Amino acid sequence: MSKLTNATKDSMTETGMSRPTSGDELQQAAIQTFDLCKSFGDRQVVDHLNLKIYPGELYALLGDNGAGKTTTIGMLTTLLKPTSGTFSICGFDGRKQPEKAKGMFGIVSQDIAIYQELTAYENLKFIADLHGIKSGIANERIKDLLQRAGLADRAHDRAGVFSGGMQRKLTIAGALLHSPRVLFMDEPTVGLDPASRRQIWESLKEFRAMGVTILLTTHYLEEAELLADRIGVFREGRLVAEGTIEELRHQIRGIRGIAVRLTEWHDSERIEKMMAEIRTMFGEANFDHLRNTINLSQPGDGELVNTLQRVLAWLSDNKISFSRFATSEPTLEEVFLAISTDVNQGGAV
Amino acid sequence: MSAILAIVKKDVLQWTRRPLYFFSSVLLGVLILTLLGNTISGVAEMPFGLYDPGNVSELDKQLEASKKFRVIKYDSLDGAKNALKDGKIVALANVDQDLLEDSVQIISEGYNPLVDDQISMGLLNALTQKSGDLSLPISSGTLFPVKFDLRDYMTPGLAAYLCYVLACMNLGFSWIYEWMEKTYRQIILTPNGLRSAIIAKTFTVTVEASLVLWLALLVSAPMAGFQIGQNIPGIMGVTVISMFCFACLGLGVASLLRTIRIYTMTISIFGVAVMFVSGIIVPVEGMPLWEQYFARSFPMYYAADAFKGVMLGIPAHYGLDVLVLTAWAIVGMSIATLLLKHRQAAL
Repeated sequence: MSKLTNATKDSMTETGMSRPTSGDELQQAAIQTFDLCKSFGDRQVVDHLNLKIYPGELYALLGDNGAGKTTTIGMLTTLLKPTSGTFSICGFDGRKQPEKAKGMFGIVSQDIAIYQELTAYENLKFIADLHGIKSGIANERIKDLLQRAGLADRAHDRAGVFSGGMQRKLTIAGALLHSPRVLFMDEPTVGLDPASRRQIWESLKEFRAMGVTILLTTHYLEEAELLADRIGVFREGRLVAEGTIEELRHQIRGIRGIAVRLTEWHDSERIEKMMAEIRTMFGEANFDHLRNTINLSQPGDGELVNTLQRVLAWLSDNKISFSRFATSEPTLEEVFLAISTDVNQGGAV
Repeated sequence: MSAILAIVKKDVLQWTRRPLYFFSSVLLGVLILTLLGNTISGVAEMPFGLYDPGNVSELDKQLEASKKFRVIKYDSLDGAKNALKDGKIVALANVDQDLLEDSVQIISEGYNPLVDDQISMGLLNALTQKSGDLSLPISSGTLFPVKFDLRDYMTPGLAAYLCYVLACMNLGFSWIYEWMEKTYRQIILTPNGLRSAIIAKTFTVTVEASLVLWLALLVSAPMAGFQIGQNIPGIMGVTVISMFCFACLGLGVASLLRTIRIYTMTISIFGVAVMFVSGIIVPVEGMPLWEQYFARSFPMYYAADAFKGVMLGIPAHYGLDVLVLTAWAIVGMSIATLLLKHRQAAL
């Protein structure tokens, strides 16, 4: 790890890349956008995006197809000109200093962009040459990256004969060759088998540990849940929710569930009475006749412990015995769906 | 500079990995230089019937000597006409057997103007060359004493056409292919990547296509029997600047059209049309005025002019040729740069 970090410093010196060095600049966000907008004709694809991603953070951007994730990546990588707003990459203004910003990041897009006729080594050597990395250092880094990608023994095989997963890993290795401080990953695991996806997740964790800031767009909620420090939910070009997975869960009203399995079976009249009381106290609730279980949701404005205490007190006061008492955390999918539904219905999250 | 060198190195590496593409390109050049060149410069030894049983005219010797005709004698005029009808001969000379008449009637099938033209050209050639022997009041002369025939004259023009085909096709295909494969993304996302890609691509295509043309000329010359002259540096120079011009134009068109199918169709159709008006087959000076303006608007005319100069040693407007070719190269590169800057996200 330290070898790579040193190599990064070496390459920065060799390639003549200038980096912000003052204390303030080092504290600043690795990626920051200010009211970033992009329209295609009348269609607003990205709508006043304000994003701040800190150095070493893995930020996952979640959204449906056409939500504007790829357009955002396109603007941040200087490929697309924003309609309005600005952004910075490692302190460099992406609109005024695009060439300097380019030296700061690597990108792994949805497409496998490698030369099929060239070997794995030749593909990486080409990228090293593109960035002007000296031969000795380039070879050392290529060796290291191929090793990490599990392709060391295939270094001199043509990339065209590799599996999809191997090709994707080679693409990722290429994006990291010039030791970028920021890595944009636009759905990097799309179309890969579970084993390959897991390998790439491991690589991502490793890159984050190395201090690389990662902006990941993905459809796979489990991927974001597993990897991301923070998650941004994108909907129709707008960032509708942002935070850690815990923060997002807290933002969702009634998404944390509490289930109480009753010991005794009660008649319908009694159950109806109980449920009416529960609804008055806790809001949304239902009774699962099959499992003899009361399901209720934690109110969004209440603390979990207080809610649990109130539920237990109510059970005790009414002399209702229970055999099981459980709470459940919402999955990211539930959070995502809840946010999406809320936004669609025009509600605030 | 390191990025340009990296792309050139990568392109050369890719090039060596697909030798079939290179040799197919050479084969295309050889075919155009030999087959097309031979066809449009006029065939030799056309089967020509002669009805002169009394050997009044001695026309057989004169026609054979021109090498344009292979004379087949007939004792019967009807027999000769039947042979013409059956396609065994392309034309027939009916020599009046009355010594006092001294007339010759040329009979052809009559429904193929191209054959009639070839016969007329051949006869004119034979008559002007042998006018003294035949006591004819006709002679030919030239301002510049040259030692080449029509076949040699065609070759420089075809070389100019090949520059267009090889450079445009090679550049367009490889650019659009990489565009579709998304491999340009890693190039343009390096500092000054787009500029490096444009410079490197036009350079490698110029070099590769030039090598293909030189190899095709070297292979075809002894096979088809045309001369390429002694001015090797001149040929190399004209090839490189023509290839570069067409590579830049190809890049401009590829950036505009973006799909291999439409690009191939456009370049092929346009190339054939421009070839016909660029003085390669028919002299531009003999065309209607509007066609002359059309021809002189496109770089192929100037490439052909420069090639004729260096390969045949005939007067050429080198200064103007280089100027126009360079101007078109700048136009092509500017179009490409402008379009690609706006379409980076698609790369």
